Amino acid sequence: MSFSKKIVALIPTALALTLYAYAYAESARERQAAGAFQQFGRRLEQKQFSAASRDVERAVGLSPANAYYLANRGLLHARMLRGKFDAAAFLEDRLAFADDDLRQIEAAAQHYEKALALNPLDDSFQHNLGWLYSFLRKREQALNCFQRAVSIDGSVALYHLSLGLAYEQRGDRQLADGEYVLAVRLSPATLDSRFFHDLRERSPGAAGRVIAESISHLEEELRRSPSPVVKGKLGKLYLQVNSPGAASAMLKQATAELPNLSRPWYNLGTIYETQGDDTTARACYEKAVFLDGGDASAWWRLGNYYDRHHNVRAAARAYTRAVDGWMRMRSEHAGRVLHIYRARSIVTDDLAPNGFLAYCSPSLNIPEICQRLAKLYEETGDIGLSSYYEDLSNSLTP
Amino acid sequence: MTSHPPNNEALHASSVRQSVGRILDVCVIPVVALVIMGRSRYGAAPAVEISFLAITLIYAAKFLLGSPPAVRPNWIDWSLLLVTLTDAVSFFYSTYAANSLHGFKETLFLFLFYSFVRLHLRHEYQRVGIFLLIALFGLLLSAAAIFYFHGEYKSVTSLGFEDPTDFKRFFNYFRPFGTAAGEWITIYLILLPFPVLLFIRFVNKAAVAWLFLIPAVTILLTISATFSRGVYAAAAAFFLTAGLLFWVYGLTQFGRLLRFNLCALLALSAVLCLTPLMRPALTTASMFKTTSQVRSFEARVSLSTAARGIVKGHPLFGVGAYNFPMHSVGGGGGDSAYAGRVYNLFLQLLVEKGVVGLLAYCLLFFGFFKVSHDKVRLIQGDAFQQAVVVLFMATFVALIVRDLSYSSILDNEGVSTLLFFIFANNALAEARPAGGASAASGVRG
Repeated sequence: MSFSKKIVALIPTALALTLYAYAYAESARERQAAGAFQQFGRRLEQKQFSAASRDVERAVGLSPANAYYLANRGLLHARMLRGKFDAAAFLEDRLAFADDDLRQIEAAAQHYEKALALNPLDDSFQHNLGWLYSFLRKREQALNCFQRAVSIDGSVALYHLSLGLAYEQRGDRQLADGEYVLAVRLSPATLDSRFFHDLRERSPGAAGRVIAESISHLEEELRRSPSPVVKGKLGKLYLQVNSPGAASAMLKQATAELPNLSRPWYNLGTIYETQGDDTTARACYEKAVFLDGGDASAWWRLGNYYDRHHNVRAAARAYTRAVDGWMRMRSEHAGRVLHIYRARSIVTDDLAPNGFLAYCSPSLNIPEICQRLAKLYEETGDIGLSSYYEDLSNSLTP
Repeated sequence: MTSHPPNNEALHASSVRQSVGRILDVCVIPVVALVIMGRSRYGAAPAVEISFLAITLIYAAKFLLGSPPAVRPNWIDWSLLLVTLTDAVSFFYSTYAANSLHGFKETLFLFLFYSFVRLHLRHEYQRVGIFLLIALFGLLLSAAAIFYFHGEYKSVTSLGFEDPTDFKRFFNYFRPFGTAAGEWITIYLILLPFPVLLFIRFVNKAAVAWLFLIPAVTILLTISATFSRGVYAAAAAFFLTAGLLFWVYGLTQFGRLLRFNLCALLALSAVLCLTPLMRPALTTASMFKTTSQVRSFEARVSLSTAARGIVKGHPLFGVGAYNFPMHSVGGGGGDSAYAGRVYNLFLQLLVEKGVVGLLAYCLLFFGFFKVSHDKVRLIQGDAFQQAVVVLFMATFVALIVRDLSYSSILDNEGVSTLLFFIFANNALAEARPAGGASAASGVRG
């Protein structure tokens, strides 16, 4: 083969190499940005805000077109607000922010707006921006954002709760209840949350209607299609209205047809526990934690079982997992980020306002569990862990 | 100071050049095998990529300075070039370039890898060496997968769960961290032809040849333990297509292939019968027996509907590589879990690369079968090479069957690298250099 023919044969390779060099340089920047973002995630979790700010600025600087990094720049500002989400203050229009906090909210909203310009289909960004607008008293814009979040992904219970709260604040009781029903139908675990506890306190009638309507919708759905998922949800709702017989039957059917669902096993466990069948309850909780290792409630129940049976080490292990599961509570959006943005690391609780994810999730008395853990570790002779959980309990006690 | 006559110096230089050339030819074996293994285990790891690019430059210099045989571009070459160009255009039209950059880089890497194999895999010993290393890799991966599966299976059943097919997501199959199990298990499918080919290559050395039954059986056992209907169907497609093609082309090793496949399947059945795997394997093969299977199918149908909706918005160049998850949020519908992938190769191509990209890829697939078909006829008399071409055709059919219900070719770096190795191997339609077919003569007749 002549030299010129060899050159011609190598032209595509040379072209591909040149383009590859460009793509590689770009992806090397992306890798650096991902490294900085990973640091940011860790520091945000530890509430080291100024260091986290440096990390996220570096990530955004290296990858300015990454919507996820931009949104987390906004999340950082939202996290720097003093205090946690106060539903009563929000509904009674008593929320007041200092000038510093208002500046943080405005900065956060701007970053979310930029992130949404890059990816308008992000349900979580829309949701968070909705809350930021709410705090800025831009209520129509806030409502639009919540509605957009629901229209992008209507399967997330928490977005319906936010939209419902926004309706409730405006005085639209019926619309609010409609959204709460949707949230409960999607995730009956909402009934165990602080949100539902508050709803029951401020409006017992509405809470009762929400449960009744949810049951009636799910029963109708079950008549149309006998899905084990619907059976699992109905089981939980029957449990809530004190029908343990019907609940048990539904949950047994759900777990027999689709044994890889975690929540029905947990709910079935609570029924057995109430009936005094500790061994079967433990087996159910063990299945629940096997299927969902981050289920704090199931770990807590399992811990209680071991604690009752004086198995100190097993109890400590289960309570530790319960606390870990609670501390690393993950929003549904965070679970999807790895796919949506090809992210290498995620911020597990990426929802604004502060504490809103915990407010809408099944509640646990974490300071009390930490206290118990401190005592259990003291019994096992692990003083270091004992004092760690003692401190954690103190820091979490309101 | 001594001086050599000029012709001696020229001879010396030529002999050095030949020696270096021979060494570089041998080095093709570890280079190709390490790239395949490295990308299978570590994905698009910078160390693997940079080392490979440096090696590409060295071999480009060898190509320029040496006397390689003429390269006649064929359908695969042209269509692959077209795929690379359309992927470049799709990248520049991407709705979210930050994600698509990785896809563009992958296409370029695979093109470079293809070109490397296409230009430098010229001897049969290179091919046999690579096959041997890949078969060994397959043996190690599948043995580790079975080892881990044993423990995971025990923890599932110890909790009182009876049917392990409902708990597929708890089985690891020795997959790299961060890789979805469904995506990873396709690697076992694409590793399957290598031990079969080595058996055919060494059939005259019976003791050695039957050793290759071991990786084949461990790979098949891992495939059985995946409890994946798509992988089962693909494995069946591999054996059926291979048998059919050997018969249609009248290849002399048809009987040998049949014997090997029969022995492998018998050994597999014996292992399945001796372990508790037979029942779940039959449950999987029943396709729509369990609630999980029905729900999984319904979710796929629902995702296909969502995907078609996305295509309508971006018909020509698609939404860009890896952007389906961004556009499909909430598209799963019902009470199914978020999927983040479209579960069909062709639909994924249509969504992410548009009609233009889909046509380019279809042309590549057509080109592969056309060139392979021509090659089987062209290399009459070289029984081993014919077997390689035909078994690779069967492997590609199996991969397409697999990717009708799960998109892994474009998502898994190991699978795509092996596939491009297969493309390059079958694209080598030029006449072999002298001696290339000599070893194969041992398996003729």
